[in-house]
Amino acid sequence: MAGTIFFNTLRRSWRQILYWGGGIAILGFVVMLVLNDIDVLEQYAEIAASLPPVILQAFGAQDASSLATAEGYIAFGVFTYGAFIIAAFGVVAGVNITASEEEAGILDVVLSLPVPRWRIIFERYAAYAVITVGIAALTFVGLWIGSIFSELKPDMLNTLAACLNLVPFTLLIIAITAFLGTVLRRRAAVTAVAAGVVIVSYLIDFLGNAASGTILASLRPLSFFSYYESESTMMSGIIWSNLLVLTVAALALVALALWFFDRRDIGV
Amino acid sequence: MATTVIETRDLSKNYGQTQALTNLTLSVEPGQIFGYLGPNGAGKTTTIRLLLDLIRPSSGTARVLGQDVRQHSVELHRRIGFLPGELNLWKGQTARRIVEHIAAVRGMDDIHYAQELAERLKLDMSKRVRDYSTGNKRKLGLVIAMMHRPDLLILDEPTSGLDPLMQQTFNQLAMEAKNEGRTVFLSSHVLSEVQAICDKVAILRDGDLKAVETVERLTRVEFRWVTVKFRETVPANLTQDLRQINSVSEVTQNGESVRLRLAGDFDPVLRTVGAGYVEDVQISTPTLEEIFLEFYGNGKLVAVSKES
Repeated sequence: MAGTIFFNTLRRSWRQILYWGGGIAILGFVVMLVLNDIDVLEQYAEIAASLPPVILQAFGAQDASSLATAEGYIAFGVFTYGAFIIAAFGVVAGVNITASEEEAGILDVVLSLPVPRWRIIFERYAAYAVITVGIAALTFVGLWIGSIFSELKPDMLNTLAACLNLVPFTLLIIAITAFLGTVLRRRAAVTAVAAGVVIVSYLIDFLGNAASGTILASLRPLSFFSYYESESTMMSGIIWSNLLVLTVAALALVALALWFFDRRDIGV
Repeated sequence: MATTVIETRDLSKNYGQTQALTNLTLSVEPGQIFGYLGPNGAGKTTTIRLLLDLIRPSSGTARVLGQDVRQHSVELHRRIGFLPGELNLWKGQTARRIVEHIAAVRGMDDIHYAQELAERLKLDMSKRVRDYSTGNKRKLGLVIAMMHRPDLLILDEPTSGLDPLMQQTFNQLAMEAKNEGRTVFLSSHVLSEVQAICDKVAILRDGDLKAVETVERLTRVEFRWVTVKFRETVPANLTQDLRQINSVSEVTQNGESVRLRLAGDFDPVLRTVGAGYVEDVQISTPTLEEIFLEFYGNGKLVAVSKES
């Protein structure tokens, strides 16, 4: 029956919204309370300006002056670290689409039911997409509560946009990991390679940004971190072209995973 | 004429250089309990996984309930109940939750029959899978396989881990399925299990189908192992005298015991044993492997016909 895999995945995994979303929300809440005065932020930005630009770039900030604003500070303090936290969730979720159950032998039972293979991937991916939106929403709640107690008053619409900006980024990581799961099958191998892809993607973006005119700079469009741009999103809202690229790439990888999974043996 | 339930033609599966199944041509008729026998690694599970479209054949075809397993897997899975040899399920979930989920996937309105099966198998469905013993996990697997009253039950080593009482219950359930006109295809490496309920048996070895035969004919192997234990010493020349009997072979002496293979009446043996004080006599039926060797001798088919 259509939707049963989706709802079962949601029922089994909804607590991840609390674990991961709660984690990022607490981070956001704490970050807003640590430096909760605009004067302190300006001093903070002055200190940051004395640092080599590459250090700021490593944490996703383009220039130190943006740190003097509530939006720039939150992008730097919450959404840069948040990207890594949610990337970890993306890998875990992607592994759970097929690799975990295949390695555990559960997939034999699941695929003996009247369910086409594509539905297993599609419905689970859709369930994790909903969970990702839940994590983003909980992150927003943490920042909103933080803004009540803090002197910092970021633009809440842009803050919401930055939270939602986590979604396509995460969906792509889930899709990459799910695809790797259909190819590599083993949980440990899939986790290791997916984590490697995230790290390499981050390094390409960071080093390419720091060293313009090099080959790494020309490779930046291949890095999904280069479409994340949390600082720009916090400053001026959703960047629709980035969202489109990440979403299309994610859907293409899901389609590839469906195709590959449908044509191969299920391991034991 | 009723459709053949399982029909394979030259079905083969290779894993690299390893030939897991070679040119399997087999048919199973409706309303049978069909045993699929062979030692571990013979290719039983490979066959089952091919029939369920979990793996794809290297060559050959398989049809179940008249449909190609590759092209119509979803439709077929509605009509098949499957118990894997090693059942793994979501450990953190209760049996009831899993049964409800599977019922929902199957589009079933209620789980009354599943509850009835659980009661008959004495399975407490309120427990989480991680709290189940191997036997209870097996029972849950049987509930999942049978709960939708499938036309075909494919059961991989169904009684492995079940206590004798539950094996009896399983036998009853399989017989009930048969009496309702449904078909049971079960794999095993235990002859006695197959003897109890199967109508027909296929024997597989090293990926090759060696024989398809009725259970009655398969087990009509006319030899037994006889061990005679004497109180003191084995009478002089007894082993030589026993070897003179036509129906006796493979006579060995171990301390106060003599073991022999008897393929005829007992009387000549009893008369030969004669003077010695016999403390105990043990008679054992041949193992599957021995029946196998009896059939095939030095690799030649002796007693049963291979289905072509």
